Amino acid sequence: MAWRGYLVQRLTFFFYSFLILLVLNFLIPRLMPGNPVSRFVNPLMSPAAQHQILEQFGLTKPLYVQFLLYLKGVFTGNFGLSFLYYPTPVSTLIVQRLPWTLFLTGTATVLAALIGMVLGLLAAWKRGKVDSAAVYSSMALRSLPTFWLGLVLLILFGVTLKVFPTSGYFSTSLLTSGGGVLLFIQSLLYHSVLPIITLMAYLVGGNLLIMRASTLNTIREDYVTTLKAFGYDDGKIVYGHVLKNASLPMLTNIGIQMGYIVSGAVLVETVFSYPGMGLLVYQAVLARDYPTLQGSFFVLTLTTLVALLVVDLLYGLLDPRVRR
Amino acid sequence: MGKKRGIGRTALIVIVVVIVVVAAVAAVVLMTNTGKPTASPPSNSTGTGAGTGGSSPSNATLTTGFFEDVTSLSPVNWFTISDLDVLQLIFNTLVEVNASGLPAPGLAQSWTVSNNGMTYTFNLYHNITWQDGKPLTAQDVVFTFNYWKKYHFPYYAALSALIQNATAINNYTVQVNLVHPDAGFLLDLADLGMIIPQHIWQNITNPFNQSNLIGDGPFQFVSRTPGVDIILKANPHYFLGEPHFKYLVIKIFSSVDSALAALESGSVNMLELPEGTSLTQLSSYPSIHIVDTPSTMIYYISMNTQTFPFNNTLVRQAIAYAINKTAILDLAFLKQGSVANSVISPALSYWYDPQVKNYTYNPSLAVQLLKEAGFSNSSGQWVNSQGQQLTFTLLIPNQAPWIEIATIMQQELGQIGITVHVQAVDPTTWENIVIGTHNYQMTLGSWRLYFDPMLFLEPSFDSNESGPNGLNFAVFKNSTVDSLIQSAIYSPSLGTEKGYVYQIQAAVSQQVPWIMLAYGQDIWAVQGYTNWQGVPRYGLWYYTNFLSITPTG
Repeated sequence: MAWRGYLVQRLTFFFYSFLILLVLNFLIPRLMPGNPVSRFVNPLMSPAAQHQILEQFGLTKPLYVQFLLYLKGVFTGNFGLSFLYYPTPVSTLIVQRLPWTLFLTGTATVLAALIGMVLGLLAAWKRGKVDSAAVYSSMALRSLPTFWLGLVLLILFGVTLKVFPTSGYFSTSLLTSGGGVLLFIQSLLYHSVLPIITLMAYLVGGNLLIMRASTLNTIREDYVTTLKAFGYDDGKIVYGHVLKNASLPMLTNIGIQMGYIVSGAVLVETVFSYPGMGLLVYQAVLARDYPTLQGSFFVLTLTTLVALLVVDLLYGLLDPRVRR
Repeated sequence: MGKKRGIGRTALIVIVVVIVVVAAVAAVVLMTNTGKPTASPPSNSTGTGAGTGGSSPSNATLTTGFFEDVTSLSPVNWFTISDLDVLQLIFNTLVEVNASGLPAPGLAQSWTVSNNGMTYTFNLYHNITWQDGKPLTAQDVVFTFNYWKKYHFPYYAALSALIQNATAINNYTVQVNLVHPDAGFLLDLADLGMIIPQHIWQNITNPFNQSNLIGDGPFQFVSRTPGVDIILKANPHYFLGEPHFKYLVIKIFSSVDSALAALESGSVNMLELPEGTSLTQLSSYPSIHIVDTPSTMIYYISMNTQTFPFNNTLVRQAIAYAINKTAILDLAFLKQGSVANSVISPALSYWYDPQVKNYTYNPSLAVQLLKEAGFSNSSGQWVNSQGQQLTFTLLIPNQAPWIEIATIMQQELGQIGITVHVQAVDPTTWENIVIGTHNYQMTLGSWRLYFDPMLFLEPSFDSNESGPNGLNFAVFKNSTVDSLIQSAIYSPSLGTEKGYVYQIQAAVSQQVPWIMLAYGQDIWAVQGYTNWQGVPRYGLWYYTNFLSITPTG
């Protein structure tokens, strides 16, 4: 019964968030000053021509008609034609871009979670110098602006040392020279190293601190003392018992990180000219490309909402107290 | 309880396995790449072409970068200058321009103009084919002109209104009748008039949503990944001969830093540097060469001539004398470019009048003009008889070089007692205010001029263009200039038009709706190729340059 109530509560929350998202998603791009045509303006573009492009873009229709068309589009998966890459459908752009962002941020999140957990656990268990080093370095990593770190890595490893590429997601010469699948995958991984490290740097710090705090709480529990008293070795206690109990807060943290990942990806993808959703959003904002903004915000926020829902449900599953 | 603890152990194993796998993959990737000389080598000079020897078009790739992606790749329904830059490599125009910016043969090898300036007869080259093998004929040209007239494409409104009708006299001769004489017609065709194949476009029912990139130019379209790159391939059947390299890759960079990094790492061969880029860092790379090309870019201060304090010509002239253009050129443009006098750039050498009055820095003359304008200086502030203070807001886009220029101006005008408030807004907001509503006092701007000066002078200074969204955002209303503009547009010959253009330059300079600051200079960083040849306005980005350059080594 309790579980069912919890499920209904979470789903209702999800539903209302989704409705608000739908409206904001339509309004926010339109509240920005300027219009999608202003960037085309030059001495050849007469006011009549500007109006004509607005008409092509469907922006001369009344706002409520635009909203209804948008709602219809959302439920049929048709977000319209991009203004920035006219006349490419927004759905095509998202299908092209989303996998790259999921690849970057997914890899970065998983690696950062694993590394953060292990290091946080060690820091809390060992204390002393290891602990101080871990805490100070993660504080430092968390304070570095992501785009700045990206630029530093870019200049150091891309320009000075020339060990990593400076931009893009794979080498274009593969297209013109024709390369095998293996070469392609290699080029892909090679291009993703710097962006992933940049994204991870921020996440690892946060994960480490949370894991450390949670471990410190856990190891004060009576059962740990008991296990110690029974003479279990450290490894068994830490990895067999403390790890699982201390990991719970990590789950929430990863869910919350999904939100950061979206904004972090904007900066990192821009620095590395990495063609993911972040770069698409950045370019669409500059161009006031309403359909692309609606489409990509919709997908990104839905991803975050779903991630939060899954975390909530998992949490309820793992910790029965939450359900009450 | 013991069983549940087992999950922790499994998790641990999974963690270790994942970390090991990732580390192994990273190691493999690193090891296989450390042997390579550059980070992401395109096959430019080190490419396969060197080994084959002799065969003229090598398999080399020329990689270049854009800071702004193209929007619409349609030869009729294009939107931005980047679009046009790419399209002009795929589609040729009937007429081109030479190094002085005057009409030269394109698809048409010659032409004649009737005495009244209203009938143009073009003779096409006979050996031109479309990239699908079909011949290009006079019917394609006629079809293109009619196509512009049938649909209302954003950039073809003026041309389609000007063309009365076009007929194919035979397969290679086209006769065009204009509604009125317009000497600029040939120059407009050179800038915009890309010819499209009839056999393809006659089947396209909605040219606003559909496009086709079979052209007649030196490059064929291969692929485009939005936000990433555009790949073009040399056209082996191009009627003026094939380019000396095989692929032209245009990478889209989201920031100047990443483009410069790519240039320095050797993965980009050609890059137009944004204004004010420091060249000292780049010149430390022996392989990178800097090429200057004449630019038609003009930088100016625009004032709303209908509102206080700039509704007084004397005040505008005073401000013009109070600004040290040389200091602005040195500090904001790092001396790249030259001080401007006329609204026409000297890169359009046929049209530019070097005698146009230059407001040379002279603060005491500025003070004198302010007094003539009825202002008196009391306790460090200029006030007129109605008690209005001479302070105003300078609205600028929050980007280089505007912020630097505004800071210098603020300081210089401050020295003679004029307080300037600088308001920096994002570029779209700026366009919305300045071009949309004209609700500003003073602003800074730049234009890249077209070959036909009237395409710029008419929208910028004709009083009919001063309404909302009109480009006469100085809201400049002067009947003499209006009638000069009309006479220039209706000129039967370029010589007559030139006379009027000279008069417009003088009149605008005297009335100063705009204070001209600087003429730009296009600076390109290039490597791996030789024989670069620039033209005005397009710089190195012109098909003739892409036909001339050859890979080194």
